[in-house]
Amino acid sequence: MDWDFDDQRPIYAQLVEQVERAVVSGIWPPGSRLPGVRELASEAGVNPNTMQRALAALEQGGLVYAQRTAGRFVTEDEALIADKRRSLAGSLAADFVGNMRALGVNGDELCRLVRAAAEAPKAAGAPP
Amino acid sequence: MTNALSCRGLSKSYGKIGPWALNNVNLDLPSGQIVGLLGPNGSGKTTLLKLACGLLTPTGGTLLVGGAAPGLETKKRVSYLPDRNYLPSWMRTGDLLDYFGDFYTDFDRKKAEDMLKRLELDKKMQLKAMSKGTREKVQLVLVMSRAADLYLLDEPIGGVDPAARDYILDTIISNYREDATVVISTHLIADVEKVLDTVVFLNGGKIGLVSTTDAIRAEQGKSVDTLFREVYRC
Amino acid sequence: MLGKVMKYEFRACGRLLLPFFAMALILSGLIRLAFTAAPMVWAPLAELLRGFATLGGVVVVIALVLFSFAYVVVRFYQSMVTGEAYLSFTLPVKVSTHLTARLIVGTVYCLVGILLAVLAAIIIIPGFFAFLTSGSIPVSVSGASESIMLSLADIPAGVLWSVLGMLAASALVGTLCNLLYAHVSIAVAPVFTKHRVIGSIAVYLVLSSIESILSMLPFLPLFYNIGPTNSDLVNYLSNWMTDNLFTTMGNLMGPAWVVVGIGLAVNLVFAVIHFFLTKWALSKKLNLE
Repeated sequence: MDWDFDDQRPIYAQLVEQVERAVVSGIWPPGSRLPGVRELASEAGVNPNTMQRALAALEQGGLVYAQRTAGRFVTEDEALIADKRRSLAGSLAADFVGNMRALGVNGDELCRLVRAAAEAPKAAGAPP
Repeated sequence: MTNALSCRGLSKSYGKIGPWALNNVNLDLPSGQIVGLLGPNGSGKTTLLKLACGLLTPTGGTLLVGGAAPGLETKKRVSYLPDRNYLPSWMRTGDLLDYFGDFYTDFDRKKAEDMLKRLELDKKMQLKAMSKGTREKVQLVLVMSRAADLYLLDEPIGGVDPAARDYILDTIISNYREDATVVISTHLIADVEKVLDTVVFLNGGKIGLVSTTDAIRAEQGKSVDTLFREVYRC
Repeated sequence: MLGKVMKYEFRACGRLLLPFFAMALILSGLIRLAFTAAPMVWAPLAELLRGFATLGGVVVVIALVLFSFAYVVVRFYQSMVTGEAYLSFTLPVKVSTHLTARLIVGTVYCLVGILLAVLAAIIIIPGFFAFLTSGSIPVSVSGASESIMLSLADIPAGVLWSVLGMLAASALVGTLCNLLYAHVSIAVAPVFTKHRVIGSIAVYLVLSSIESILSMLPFLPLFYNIGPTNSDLVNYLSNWMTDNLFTTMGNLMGPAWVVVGIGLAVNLVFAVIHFFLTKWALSKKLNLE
């Protein structure tokens, strides 16, 4: 998976977000095993303690759970994942609309643009 | 839990009356952290690391490594990577593996050999025949193959290309242990800040700020690198 | 630990010294060849050849002694003060171990240098070896009517071994002391000044001046009673003229050993002091550039 960081925001928060995205978009399927903390930190190029804290927060949220010796796994709770997807999509939408409004694009024109983009053939490399 | 490194009123002057390379430094670094010692050239970073190794004697104040003053016992537990050529240049990489194995009980030869192989470094090559970047990689491999309590890396990524930098930082992350502390001294802040737990700003021999990457970003809304440039603008 | 440090020091010094020793011996052989070939060559060329060969021979013998010492000292400087010192002092090795190792390795290489110098002389000088084992030298004694041929083979074995013993002891003690002079000068200088080379020379001069004066003290009692009537020394000197030369030499060995022994002992005491001074400078006062 591609880790992408904004250097002006705390890494911890970004790690949580990116793992959520990976789970929601299916890159990390439900029930799949996560690599170890050190391996993930190495992949992401971040401090292992920070990665550990992010994973702990995700465990709290239920998206990820730990089994003592076996490691960490993505939850199999489809409903939870769907919930997360909805809330992530919701904030992406809110951001989008906000940006569009700043351009002066509103209401019908906004909806027309969205529909056109949704019906257009998939761009190469876009996530499923 | 004893601190990996602990300084109280630590001062170092190279002349009789100054200038002060380090001026009244108070610092506590717990174990299990990757610490960035950030500052411009001449800020005292190298002096602090050398004091921790016992290569310099303090002019004033105290410095403790794992609770003990620098000496025979601390040297067994400290792995130091200087910012210069310090290994005999006639030695081959293979000789150096023997050397480190002979003197350090915590040296993991197998790990070193694996790392050298991954970097495609020839064991038969003499140090003097290597490019600067290659030499630095060899030195880093040797230092990181020890299971030390405190790693002191002086500008480990300064003289190498970006790909090698990534590899070096990756090695530091992968070698992380809860009972060890890694101190990275560098002026290349943007490259390392994601890897750091604690950030220590050092300038003119004085500690400017001690915080974490995330705290700085959360409070200031900017990267550590940006903050540093603002604070120490020339 | 001492063994390991010595192993690497032997290797480090040997990299330069062993080839040097080999070259010096080969050169000695060539010089001897030159001497042997000289008479068969056209006369003026022969003189030139002999001249160069003699010069070469002297240089080789002296170089074997001096260069070994000089290089050992340079290695000490490199591994304890400059560049490699970063490596030496981060190793979990006591300073005294570092110093002892370098002292032992240095002494070994210096003594080898001295022995090889003798060997080179034997190779270079035609007849030297024969002389050493069974030759004779003319000795003229003032007051005697003719010169006496002193044959080495005639000297009592006891005296010969005594003299050899004294030479060996002096070589060993001398090497140790000179090395420790070098060590202390190099180690103590940075404690006081930034100028390492001049500082070392200064430390050396100061120490050797003080110690030269101090080393005369044990000998003062010997000369205290000097007067024409009751000086042992004068008695011995007068006996030289009248008694059998060889028994006199035999009788002299006892007091000779005492004098030599005291001299060596005094130097060893200073050497030990130097060792501890060096250790102090490199542990309590270490400040590597």
